[in-house]
Amino acid sequence: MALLEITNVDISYGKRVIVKDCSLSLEKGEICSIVGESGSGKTTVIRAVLGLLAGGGRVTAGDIVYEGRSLLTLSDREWRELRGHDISMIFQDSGAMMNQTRLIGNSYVEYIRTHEDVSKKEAWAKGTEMLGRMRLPDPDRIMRSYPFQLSGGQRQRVGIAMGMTYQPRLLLADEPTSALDVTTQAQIVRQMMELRDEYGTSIIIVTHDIGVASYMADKVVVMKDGEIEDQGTREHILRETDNAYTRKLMEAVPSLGGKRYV
Amino acid sequence: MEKKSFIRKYPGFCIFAILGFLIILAAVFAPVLAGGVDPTEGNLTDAIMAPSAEHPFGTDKMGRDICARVIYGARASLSSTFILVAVIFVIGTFLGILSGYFGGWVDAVIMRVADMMIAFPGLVLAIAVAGLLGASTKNAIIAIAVVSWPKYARLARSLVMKIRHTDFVAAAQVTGSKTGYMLRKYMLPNTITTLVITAATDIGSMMMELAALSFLGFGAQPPTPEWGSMLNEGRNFMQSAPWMMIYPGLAIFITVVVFNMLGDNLRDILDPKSE
Amino acid sequence: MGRKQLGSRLLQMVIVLIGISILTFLLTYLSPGDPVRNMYTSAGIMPTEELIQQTRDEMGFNDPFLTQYFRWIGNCLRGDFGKSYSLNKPVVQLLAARLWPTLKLTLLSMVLMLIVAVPLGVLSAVYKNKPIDYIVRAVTFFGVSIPNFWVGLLLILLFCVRLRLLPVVSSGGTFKDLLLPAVTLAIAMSAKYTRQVRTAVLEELSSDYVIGARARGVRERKILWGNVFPNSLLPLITMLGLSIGSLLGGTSVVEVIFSYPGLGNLAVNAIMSADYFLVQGYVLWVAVIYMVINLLVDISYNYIDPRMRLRR
Repeated sequence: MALLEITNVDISYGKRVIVKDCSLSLEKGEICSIVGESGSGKTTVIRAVLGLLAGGGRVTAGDIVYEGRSLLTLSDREWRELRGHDISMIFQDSGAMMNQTRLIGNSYVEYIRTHEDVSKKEAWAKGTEMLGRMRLPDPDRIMRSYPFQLSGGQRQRVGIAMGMTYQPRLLLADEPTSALDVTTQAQIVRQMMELRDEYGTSIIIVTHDIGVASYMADKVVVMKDGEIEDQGTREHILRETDNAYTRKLMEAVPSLGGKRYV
Repeated sequence: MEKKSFIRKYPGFCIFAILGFLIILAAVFAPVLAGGVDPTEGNLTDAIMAPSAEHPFGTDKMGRDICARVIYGARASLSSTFILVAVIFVIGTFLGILSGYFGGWVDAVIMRVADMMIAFPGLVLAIAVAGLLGASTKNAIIAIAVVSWPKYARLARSLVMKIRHTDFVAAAQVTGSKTGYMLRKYMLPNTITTLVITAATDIGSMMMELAALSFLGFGAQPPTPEWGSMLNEGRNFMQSAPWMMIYPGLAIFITVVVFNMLGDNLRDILDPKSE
Repeated sequence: MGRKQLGSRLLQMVIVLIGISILTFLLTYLSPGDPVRNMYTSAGIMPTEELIQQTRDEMGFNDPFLTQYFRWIGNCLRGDFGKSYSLNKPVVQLLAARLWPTLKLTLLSMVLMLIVAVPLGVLSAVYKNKPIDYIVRAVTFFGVSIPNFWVGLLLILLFCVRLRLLPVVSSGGTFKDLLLPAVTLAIAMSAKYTRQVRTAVLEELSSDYVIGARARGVRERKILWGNVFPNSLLPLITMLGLSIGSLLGGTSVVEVIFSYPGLGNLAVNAIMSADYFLVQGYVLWVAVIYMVINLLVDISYNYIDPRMRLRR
């Protein structure tokens, strides 16, 4: 049984169908990348998995099944157990996903105490430890900082740390590197891949950067205008496919000395 | 066919536009509606009579028919309100656009003056101005206008400043457009929609402020029928003749409700993204 | 707030105060009445033209505008705001005596307002577009549309005349005297404030961090009361400061209706009797109070919001 099965899913906002007939399957330990331009619906799909569609959005057809359970019919309590624990999500700007008026430590403690019955002190210690494990220098200072006081790279690492606190089986990453400079991007990407190696985490990463996608992913899904344009293994997408759109995306990557470093 | 879908799409606006229009009509055709009764004429022998068939809203202390006074009162209240809103709108928008477009010391001066008006509880200054200039409708309008224009000026200014330094404005300037033209064709259209909406939604509260001033005695003067001053007259007869203050107040309330709803609906039409 | 910011803010306040004082003085200077004549007539004397002119000379009313203005301002800075001739007492004394009752009224109104507006606003936002939201929005709509002086009169009619529960004329002493005026003021303000609370909470609810917290599995209730609500309070504090201003003004009407011995009542009477010194003193005092309150609000806002505190 696949870890996650998205089958023929339609996502609509009111009467408008934003995503049509999306199907995707993810095995344990697999990394899948969803690529596409802005507006292709890739973020919508990933948010739908966690039930986080913005106001008015709904899955109007198909099913999303996680470990044999449909995610479309979960109660609030079931979601609370799943989110942040079995399935985690990291965002394009992890800093913005935290309360700007609270210390990172306090947000982290709040998160930990949602899933574990521990004291504030214990939660704080756990958070600090987690930050250290993500190779963040001086985790103590970071816990005592506000999100806006950190750099983009540091914020993303904090986001990943929080996302990995409970070693989720599925990690959803929504453009996690798009706001970073190239060097930091490389570091984050590598760190994410280590997660898979170390913990066996399955990852779905949404990105518009084909370079990142082809580096990380075992499987690539290409989306355009709300529909799946092409999908397959990395090899297939990079070299074998004869889908015109995919080819166009590939060609958009600048080449150096006649070679494309994808 | 287009008209039909407009009504269907914006039923609220149409209903209240019609109601507002009816109120205005009532003011304009007051003599007809009042059945020829003179609101300023009263027989002292008829003073303070409870509502009856002959005097649906009763009579006041001078024997005047309150129903007629309420209907005629619409004239004073509505006209002064519309004039007030128009004055504030024009002055505020004008100064705001100037302030935003020219910046520099023009901006500084206008904004400091605006700060002065805002740094002060509105009604207090209005009362002071109206009181010291002498009580009359005209002075009441001036008083409230003096205190209220900053809101529009600031709004216009911020809207202008948003586009002031954009490329398309710079392009127009570079190609030699004169200042007057820039102000009229570029700055004004950008600001007008938001400001019109603000004005429409302000009609209700401006009406209440004018009524408040008249209530205190600083606005319309007797024997002119005006809802605020009628409430003031009714105040002293609360125990014996409550109808004297109930009906004028009701008139204010209903009119304000209608125009507030109208303003809100207008906002929904012109600026649907505002929640 | 940085020292530099505070300094420039104070400077701004002083400039604005000077402007207001000039404006007020200009108003009374230009107004049609004659303070000296009023002074005599309110004392019951019918003065001759010569007497008036003589007194005007003596009291400095025939001096040039700037001389008079600086004299007045100089006196104010020394604590002498002149003498009210309609009430025959120093202005300072009159203002001081009435300040506390008005403040009491303002405070009670605000407390009442907060008790109503905050819960309703939060409720309305959280259950947006559900029945409770529509009810709250309808009620607040009517609350904003009703003239507060009419409400006051209706309340008097109901509670004092018909039900005889409360005294009609108040002496400003007991709680009973405060209640109706405070309720009257609170009604209109609650309506306005509930809407503002609703907007602030709604805006916070659509913030990214709410989605982030949900993605981490945090309880809705914790998100709302632990995060959204405190954050919504920040803009509300600023709005509260502005409301105090309109309260200070609005008390005038309500105080007159209930014959409540506060500043507003004093001011209205002063204006009606053209008691210029009293009016000038009143305007200046209220302006200072209002600006000080706003300054305090801004300082506290800057202090409470870490983004303001730490970001340079």
